[in-house]
Amino acid sequence: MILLAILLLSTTFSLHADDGSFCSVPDLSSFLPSVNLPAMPEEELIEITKVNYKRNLAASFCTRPVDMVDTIVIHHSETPETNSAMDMNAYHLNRVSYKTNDAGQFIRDSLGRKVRDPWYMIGYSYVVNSAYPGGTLPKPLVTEGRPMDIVGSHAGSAAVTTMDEDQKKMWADGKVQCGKTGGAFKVDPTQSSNGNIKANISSIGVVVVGNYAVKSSSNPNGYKPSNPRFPTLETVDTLARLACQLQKKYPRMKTIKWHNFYKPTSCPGNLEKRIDQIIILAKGYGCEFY
Amino acid sequence: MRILLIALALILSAQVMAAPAQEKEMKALFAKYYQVMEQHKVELIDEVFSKKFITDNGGKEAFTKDVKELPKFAEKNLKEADITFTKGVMDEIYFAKVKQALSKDKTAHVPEFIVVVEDGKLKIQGTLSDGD
Repeated sequence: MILLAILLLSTTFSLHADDGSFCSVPDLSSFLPSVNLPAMPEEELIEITKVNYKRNLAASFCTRPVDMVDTIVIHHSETPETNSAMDMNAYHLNRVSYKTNDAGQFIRDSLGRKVRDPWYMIGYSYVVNSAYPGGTLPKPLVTEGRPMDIVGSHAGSAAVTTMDEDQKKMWADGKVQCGKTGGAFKVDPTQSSNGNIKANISSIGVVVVGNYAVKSSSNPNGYKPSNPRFPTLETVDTLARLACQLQKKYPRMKTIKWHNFYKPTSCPGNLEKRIDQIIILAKGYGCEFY
Repeated sequence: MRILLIALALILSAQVMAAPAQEKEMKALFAKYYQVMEQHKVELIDEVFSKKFITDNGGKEAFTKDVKELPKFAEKNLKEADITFTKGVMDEIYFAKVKQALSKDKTAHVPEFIVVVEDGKLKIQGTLSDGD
């Protein structure tokens, strides 16, 4: 009877909401306040704040050598500009994706349900808080998000990209592994095929908090049609400094893309129109992006 | 043992009943949402949006003005939205992906709405960039 009831319940939920209540999540560590960074070396272009994020220890995630990363993907959060990196983490900890195979199709369990993939922590690797034009945030603030050696959740789980020879070797050598905290990590073959790899593995997400797309029924937090919102020069400069600083540390990072390069989305709104400017400013700091 | 089985059956029944009810409430919420955003029925704003959303958008008066700037569409163009939603892993929050087939919004993306429970009712708190 119990088995029958569980089967009935499972079937019902597959027909309706994908309810997260089945996911048992242990009581995790509480949010911790920001920690001060040690004194920054003079050659660094921008101060990056580190925080201790709450993580979902029951969620799986993948690790990678940082040399797998060659691309920075620019996003906007679509949320109010006042949200913090901790706010973004709180949202993302509640999110669930569905596992896809190397062809971008959903993987299903024996009952035909999509396999759930709760998020481990904030999906972006860096969070930029910078005021809207005329805004009053004190100054651009860059906060580290998901560590660089953990594959992010941002470009789209179904998005794939080609690998260069170095990336192919790292993949073939089993350097990208997936698992859960405290468990065994192993290569997940669904992450790559035919020389392609999930875009999240070879990129990091940099999010500018705020909404740079027009208000509409699919974007109620957007700017008014009569008053378009573009990032300030300070915001663009912050992104350029961050990108350059990352390239100095990780020389393989040579490309800057934007979210809707990978999938149809309004993200990153008008930030997309400033990608060229970011690249030009980064060049002024001694970095080469394309 | 029998009591345990009955208790389990009751719990399972309650959950089975809850899912369609929640789906119905979600659909009703988004039906009103599109009435606000595409037909300018601004009297529904308090029923549709969370207090935080309204505050973040400069207050009800400012948001009402913003809505009235948007294109207005005839009711006949609105069809029931195609909604899929997930419950938050840790909190009482929902993420709803909504396709509005006849919406005139031509951006190809499917928005991911943040839906919270406020005063026992589902309310929209905004959207989140739809990366994963």
